[in-house]
Amino acid sequence: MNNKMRETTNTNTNNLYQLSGVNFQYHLGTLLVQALRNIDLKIDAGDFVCFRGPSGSGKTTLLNLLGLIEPPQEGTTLFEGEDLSKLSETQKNHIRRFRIGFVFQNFHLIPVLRADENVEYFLARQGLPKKERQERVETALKAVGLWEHRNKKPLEMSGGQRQRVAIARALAKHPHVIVADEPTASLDSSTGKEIMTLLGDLNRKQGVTILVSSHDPMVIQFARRVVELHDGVVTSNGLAN
Amino acid sequence: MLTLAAIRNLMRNPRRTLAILLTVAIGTGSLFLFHGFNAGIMNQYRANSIHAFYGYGQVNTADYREKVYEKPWEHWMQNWPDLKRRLLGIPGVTQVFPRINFFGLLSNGNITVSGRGLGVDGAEEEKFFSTINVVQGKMLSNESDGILMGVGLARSLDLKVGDKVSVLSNTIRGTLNGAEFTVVGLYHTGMKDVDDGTFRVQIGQAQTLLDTERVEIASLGLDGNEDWSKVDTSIKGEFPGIEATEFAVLDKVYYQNSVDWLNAQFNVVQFIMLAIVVLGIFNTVSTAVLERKQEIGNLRANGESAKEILTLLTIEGLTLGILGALLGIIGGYIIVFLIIPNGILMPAAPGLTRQFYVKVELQTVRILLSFVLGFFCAVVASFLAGLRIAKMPIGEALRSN
Repeated sequence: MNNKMRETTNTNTNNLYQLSGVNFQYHLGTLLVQALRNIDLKIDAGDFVCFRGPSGSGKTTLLNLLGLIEPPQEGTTLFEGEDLSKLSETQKNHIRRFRIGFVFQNFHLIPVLRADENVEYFLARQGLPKKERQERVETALKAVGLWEHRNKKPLEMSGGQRQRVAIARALAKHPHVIVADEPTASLDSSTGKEIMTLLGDLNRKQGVTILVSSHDPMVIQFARRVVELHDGVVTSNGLAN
Repeated sequence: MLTLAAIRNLMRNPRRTLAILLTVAIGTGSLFLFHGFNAGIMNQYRANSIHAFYGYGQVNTADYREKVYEKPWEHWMQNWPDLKRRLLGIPGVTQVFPRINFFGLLSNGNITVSGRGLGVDGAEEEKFFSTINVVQGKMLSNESDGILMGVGLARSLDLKVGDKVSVLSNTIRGTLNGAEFTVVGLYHTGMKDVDDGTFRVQIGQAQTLLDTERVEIASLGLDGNEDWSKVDTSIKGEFPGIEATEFAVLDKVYYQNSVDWLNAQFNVVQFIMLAIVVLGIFNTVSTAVLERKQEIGNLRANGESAKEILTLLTIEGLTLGILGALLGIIGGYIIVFLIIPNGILMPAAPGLTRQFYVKVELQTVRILLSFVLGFFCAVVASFLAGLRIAKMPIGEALRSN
């Protein structure tokens, strides 16, 4: 067990997520993979959690579950007190659109749109008026230091810049939580550190809950709490040193 | 924003967009060009057939075509000048060509052979029957003693243009009658029996030879083929004892059977083309949509519903369908009017002896149908592929390559 972590009991009643007895399996070709096994987990609003573990440990599956990308199969998953298994697709779309921001390893920006349009796209889909959208775009792009690059399209930017646009896109939605799956995996170490610093600032200054998956020790330094997974089982869950 | 993203998506990958546009354009264009070509062939073939021998149709006394008479001339049309005037009074009828068939003996002084003569109004027929293949000399025009002969018959008699030939025939009363003619031209139909045994003289000469003022049959020239049914109706109503027969019936063996045969063949080819076009468009559009799984997964992860994704992809398909189909039609017009303005040279058709140009006839209805087909295929393919991708679990879409 990692000696940098210590076990903790969460007594905070401001639970953002509450998982109990969660199992998840999927087919990989003909093979049935048990990705998560009997997960019990609570995540507070405003927390910065890093999910750590080797490849195939279930980090991404757990993040996908928390980001409502994968549907719950077994057990109970509550998000802000709502049981995800009882939500309709429309309700889940609404949560993804308004309350969750995503940052993916491969950025997943819309290549035909400029940086500011990429950030604005989902705000427009939220139905925000133009003026408010523009304000949020400016704030978000300035927060990630890309305001001067707002007219560039993703292919005209470096990997780090693209990831910062992705963060700005997530941030501008004013989400309750940002789910970041391996956000530094496609970046060099110094750019990765910049990105994590940015996420850390968002967490500290704006109180946005950050959920990150990574096996990079640098990333773990920014987390307040580390959840370690192994073969789909939470093997440790504690505060980071 | 959704529409903006859809439109810009089309410009994101120009090669992919161009491939789809070309697939839709080629599909749409080839369908209406093929149909235009078929229509051109049929129309040109019909025009050639009409202007070769029968005109738009013929009139004769009732049942004359169906029965064999011992004395057929007794059943020929009487009072021809009056009948001709009345026929020309029918709306749509522009010309009337009286004819008499008869048998005669032709002699050059040394050799005598039998032949089947046709008395015609040379001056009038010359203007209308333009597809007769005159290989030497000219059409029979207003030469009162002129004779136009099949090449084989002329060869048998060792005749050439300008030579004299005597024609002997029985009058309708059974006495022998004769006249001397000058060869004005030789024709070649490709049918040996016709080329070796037929000739044409002025109808007045034929009537004198047969000692009759009657006319056996009369071909009709009309404003257009579409006038035939009303002309037929007029003749039925106003000319008791006279029947009219359309050229397609008269020329059934060569014209109508050829048209039916070609149409059946074209329909098969058109069906195969249609299948290729539809499958081609479906395949190209579907592939373009399905290779965007990750992108769609990202949109879904950020709250877009399956319905919104479907709308986005359908807008793209709609735009590509409209642009591609328009491109196909414009391309078709460029080919028809700039590249092959004179049409396509075709070999001699059944029953004809000369090559002919076929113009691709662009019919508005067919163009619209081709446009709708190309556009519809692109939209449906986008919709179906979009449905598949939109319904895919988000995680699976994000994980896909």
